[in-house]
Amino acid sequence: MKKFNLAFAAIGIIAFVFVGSFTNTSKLMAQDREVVTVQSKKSFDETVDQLHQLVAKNGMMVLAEVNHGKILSMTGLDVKGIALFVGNPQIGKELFTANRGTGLAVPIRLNIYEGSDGKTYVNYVKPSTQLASFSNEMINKIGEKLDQKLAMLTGMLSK
Amino acid sequence: MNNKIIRIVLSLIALIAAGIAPNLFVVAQAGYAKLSDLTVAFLFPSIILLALIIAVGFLVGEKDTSKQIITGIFGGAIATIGLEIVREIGFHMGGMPGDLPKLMGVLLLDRFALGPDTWSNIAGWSYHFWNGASFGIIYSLLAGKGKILYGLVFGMLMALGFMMSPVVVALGVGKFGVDFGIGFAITVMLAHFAFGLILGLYVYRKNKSCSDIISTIKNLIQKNDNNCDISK
Repeated sequence: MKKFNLAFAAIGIIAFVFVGSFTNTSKLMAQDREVVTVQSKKSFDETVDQLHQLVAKNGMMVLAEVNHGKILSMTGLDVKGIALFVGNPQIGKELFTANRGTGLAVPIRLNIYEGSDGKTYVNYVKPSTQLASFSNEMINKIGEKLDQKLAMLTGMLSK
Repeated sequence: MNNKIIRIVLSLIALIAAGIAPNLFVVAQAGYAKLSDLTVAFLFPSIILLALIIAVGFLVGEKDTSKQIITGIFGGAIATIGLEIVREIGFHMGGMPGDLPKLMGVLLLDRFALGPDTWSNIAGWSYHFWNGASFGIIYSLLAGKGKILYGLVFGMLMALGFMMSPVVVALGVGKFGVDFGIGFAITVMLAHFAFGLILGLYVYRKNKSCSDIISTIKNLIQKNDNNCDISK
């Protein structure tokens, strides 16, 4: 009977973890060590507007914007895509003080696009991954801090 | 001062001023400077200079030169409509890599990253038509009254010049569009054929004086008074 209960409990735990992992992927569509993709519940334009506001509310700024959709419209291609380059002067100062080559990784690029399924997604390369190549403890810490900030920020889009 | 000398001087200055607009796009695409900066530094002054030459021509009694420039402006602009009809068809059939007037617009307003909008499109189309007008001025001054055939040859030379310019390299299609497809060369040649045909016809009908700058220089050197001017 004890053995049966243990087996039942083990199955329950596995099932819980399995279902839980699916719940997580509904927010983070594709997440590996480098690229994080989040599905937005809103339309493309609304997501762009909301992301602008979320960036500002979370102590960062949109430093530049590349409208892939409009640029590509000049070639006759009809797609929706905008890349926001977000950063924070203070974080930038710390990074550039530690290593002037960090301009390769910052400002962070947030890519908003409408998929072929009509849904809106936001993806980005984890700042910690991009900053890891500089092999500096302080830079790594900032990278991890930025990871958390972006995860929180993009997580709000899926709510 | 001799009227022929005034005519030659005004025509030469006008030729240089008209040559500025089309070359700015080429210089920008070659990576030497931003089109937005070149516009302020060279394009606007060149337009003002052309306006002054037209005014001076009328004031000093060299109306033919001024009229030839005006004919060139209108002829070039109208011929650009013909070019655009062909280019637009070619673009929608996949014969062109991009919409050039829109590209010019975002480069003029230095907003490539944001893509085109209404104002950049207006700027791009205006610049495109002014380029056509500039080529019209050059043709009108060089050909005088000319012949329709001259217009066609001029259009074909423009097409060849464009397909060998740094613009096509920057667009990623390669010289003569070899990296894009035969549709590019066909579209460009046909569009400039239409441009040359309309320009040649317009200038032939509108230019009263058949005196072009080259024959004026020849007449001056040979001290020949016969300039086949039918407007006087």
